[in-house]
Amino acid sequence: MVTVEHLYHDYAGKGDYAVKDVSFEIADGEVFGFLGPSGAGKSTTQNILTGLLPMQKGKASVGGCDIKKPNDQFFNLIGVSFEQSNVYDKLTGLENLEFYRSLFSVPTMEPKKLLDMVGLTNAAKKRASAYSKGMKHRLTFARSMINNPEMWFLDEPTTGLDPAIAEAIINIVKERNDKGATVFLTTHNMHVADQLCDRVAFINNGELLLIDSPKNLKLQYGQKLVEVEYGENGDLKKETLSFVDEKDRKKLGKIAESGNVQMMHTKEATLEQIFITVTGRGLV
Amino acid sequence: MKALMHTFVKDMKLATRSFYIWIVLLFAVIFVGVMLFAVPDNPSLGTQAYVFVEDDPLLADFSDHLIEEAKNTGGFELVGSRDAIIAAMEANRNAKGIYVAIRDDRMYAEYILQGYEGERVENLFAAEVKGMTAQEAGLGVDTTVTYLKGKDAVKAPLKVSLIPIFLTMESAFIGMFLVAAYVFMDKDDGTIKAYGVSPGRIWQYLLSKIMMFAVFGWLSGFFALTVLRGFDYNFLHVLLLLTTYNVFGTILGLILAAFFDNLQNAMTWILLMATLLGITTVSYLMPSFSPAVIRWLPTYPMQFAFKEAIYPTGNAAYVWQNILGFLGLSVVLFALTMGLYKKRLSAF
Repeated sequence: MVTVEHLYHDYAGKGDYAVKDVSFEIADGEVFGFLGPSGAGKSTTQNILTGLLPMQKGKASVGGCDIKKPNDQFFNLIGVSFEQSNVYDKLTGLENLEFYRSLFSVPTMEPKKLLDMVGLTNAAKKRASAYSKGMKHRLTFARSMINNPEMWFLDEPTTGLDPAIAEAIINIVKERNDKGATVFLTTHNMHVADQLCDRVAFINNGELLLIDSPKNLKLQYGQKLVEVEYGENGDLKKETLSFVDEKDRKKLGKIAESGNVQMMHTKEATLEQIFITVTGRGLV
Repeated sequence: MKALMHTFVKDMKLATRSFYIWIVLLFAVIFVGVMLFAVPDNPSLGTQAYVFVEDDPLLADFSDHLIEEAKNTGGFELVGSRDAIIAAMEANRNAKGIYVAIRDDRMYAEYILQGYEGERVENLFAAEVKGMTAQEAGLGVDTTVTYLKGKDAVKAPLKVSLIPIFLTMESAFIGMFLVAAYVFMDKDDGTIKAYGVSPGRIWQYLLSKIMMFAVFGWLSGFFALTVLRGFDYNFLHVLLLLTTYNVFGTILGLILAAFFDNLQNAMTWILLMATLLGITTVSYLMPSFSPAVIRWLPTYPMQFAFKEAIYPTGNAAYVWQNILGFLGLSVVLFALTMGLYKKRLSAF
């Protein structure tokens, strides 16, 4: 669905690249996470791929459309949910979606149904200026799927949402992905990336450092340890045991057989820990 | 075309739900009110007659008498040549002139009129001058009348003279001053970015705003014109002038808005442009003051073209020159603006 080859971008034209030699591919129906701290080059890459920034150097295509000259076919194919909500404050939620819908020349979704999906049915006829930050974010998210995008760009889709709504948004993404939508997800939220992404890419200082599935990364960078809390002779004990060491494995088996296990956690690495290991810096 | 119409409807909704447009329309109502109830048709503009008497011994007494009279009554002003009379009359369209000389031992008095005064005023003026000159000089008097603008020239009342200024500075340039506010609103909301990733095209985004301000320009212009003038004007000319000037003005505003992030930063330039464009009003009201630098400003020909469309003097070619000239200019500037917005979209 997406092919990016040796992508460069220099805002000032002075050789100071915001994106340097970035190459990757996203398969049809894949959820691809693009992770990196602020200023790493995530937005620049996404802006190029969505046609907001002109292509300077390199090659990229989305759904077979050359990004160098984005055309109607391209814009009918993509959906973009921005990190910062960007809806018309003076229009109602329904009017916002109806206007956006009118710009497309492909079959679109019913605005009322979309509002219902993101829990805004009761606010459909209220002006967006009366919406809370979270409501505007949901409206922005709903708008991004109005054209049933085959290629869906999501920038921090759950930021600022309460856990229940965030979960609902994640489920919508999963559902649409199951129906075939390809997703380019930019997020700081490692939990969301972990839940949704088939593969993730780490970008730092404009350079792509690695691409792999979260599972492979965890296997590669995580420790094969388990932390266990159990009762023994009326005392609560806590131990960290290795899956590699045979002695530890036997002990773990004994603890499990005793039936006194209070808590047990595998010590696999989180994506954030892996990012820090790879880049030497955090995601914020 | 469908997307353009939907964008236009959306822009109209946004405009009517913000206060800028209502201020402009309110200003049109205030202008009309002031013109109807506060501005007289033909106010006195001070000295009404300019006089020049040739230096001739036969006219010495008459000349001395006039100097004394001018000091006492102030009803006329003595100037240094016949050309000075003409220049003064060009600047003051309410004024008349008298040129006195000796020809074949008889007094020769030339009454210089603008041409719009009408027979009654002309006769009164002639009688007044004839009596004055004959008594003092004791000479036979020959008279002649010269019309500065041709006999039966039409003089617009002050009210009508001010309408072209209003049409130019408000109805035509409404877009130039306000489109920036609407673009900045789209930038602040981030909606211009959302539009940028939709199949809606930049030319539709820009054209929709141009169309919207053209509609508001028509509303404001035809409201003022109809109340103050009825239907006594060349409708087609006014419509085309209003449209082309409005398109031109809105495009200038769009270009300006592309270079700034918010209204505060752009305000200095908007005010500077408003002042610059407003200067031409001085030349419009006082044609004797028309330096080349002012004549090159777009509002200069606009005001005269509007005047011709409202008060035709048979110079329709001037109106069409304006319509076609500004239309051509607008097409070129629109292409430039599209390139500018495409290039700067991500910066918005």
